[in-house]
Amino acid sequence: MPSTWWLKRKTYFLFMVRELTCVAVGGYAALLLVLAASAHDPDSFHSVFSWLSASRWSVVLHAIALPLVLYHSITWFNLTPKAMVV
Amino acid sequence: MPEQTMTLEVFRYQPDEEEHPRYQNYEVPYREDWVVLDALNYIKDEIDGTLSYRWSCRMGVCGSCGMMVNGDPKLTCATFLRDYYPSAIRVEPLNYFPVIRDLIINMEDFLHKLDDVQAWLIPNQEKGVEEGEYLQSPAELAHFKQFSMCINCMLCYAACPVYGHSQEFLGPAAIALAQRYNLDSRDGAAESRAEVIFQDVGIWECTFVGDCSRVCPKKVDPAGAIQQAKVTHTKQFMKELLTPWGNR
Repeated sequence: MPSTWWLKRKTYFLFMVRELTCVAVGGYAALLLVLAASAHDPDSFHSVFSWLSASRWSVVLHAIALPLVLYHSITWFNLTPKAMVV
Repeated sequence: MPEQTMTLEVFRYQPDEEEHPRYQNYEVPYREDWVVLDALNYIKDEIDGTLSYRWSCRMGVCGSCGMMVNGDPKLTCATFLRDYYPSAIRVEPLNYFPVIRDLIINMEDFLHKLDDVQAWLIPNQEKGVEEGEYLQSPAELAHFKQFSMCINCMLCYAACPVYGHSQEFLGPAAIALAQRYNLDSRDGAAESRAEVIFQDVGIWECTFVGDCSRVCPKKVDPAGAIQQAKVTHTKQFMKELLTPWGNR
């Protein structure tokens, strides 16, 4: 199989996109951990929160990550019923 | 009015005469009610009798005529020319299988896998004929009926990139059929099938691309069968881990 196998069929490509979107999910999980870790100290929590809401980089990252996480969630909920014996 | 025609680009490989495969173009009459298999039969009967391919029932039951049609695994008896006309159609043998000749693939590997998963009913308790039938309720039948529709056409293997990467993988149809018997209330061999389907090259090799279910002409959903088997195995594993003293 050539390394470009996933470009040969639309379903293979969408599968690879689905798999790669887990990076964005991991990013949100890491962000949640950072927020949780800073929750004990109001100052550090505020500095993380203000970076999230004011930084241009934060807005760009969210604009990229949010659609990826939504795609991941939709495909996940579409696939989950397949694993259930009805 | 001149007869409408269509071009079929057919994969040809005759190992006794040539070293490498090639493609040969054939002009066949275009008929709205013809399927790709009709066009292949026309070539065989009227143009070139050396073309080899498998077919039998011509009605989507026997599973013999599976081929790649424009790169997609299809039953050629259920694939109409009208869906491609006027473009040419490329017909090739099923992906990922060794080619014996022209459009005929070697299916030995799949047959061994069916054997490995014991794709047949092994009753809980053997009964004598005088004891009557093995009864089953409609609800029990509904558990596995979908998976019993498999016709062993192997289109799912030709669609599976995991099987393309490693022929060790048990593959979609064999696992779906194992699941068909595991879910059957009359069967009692799930434990002996488990050794084969729960191994690394069994269900855990599957990355859930899901193309097997998309191409299945009988809507068997082998991807679903594999994920269900993963859940079963995970539950068994956790149960054994948390209650090592308990019975399975």
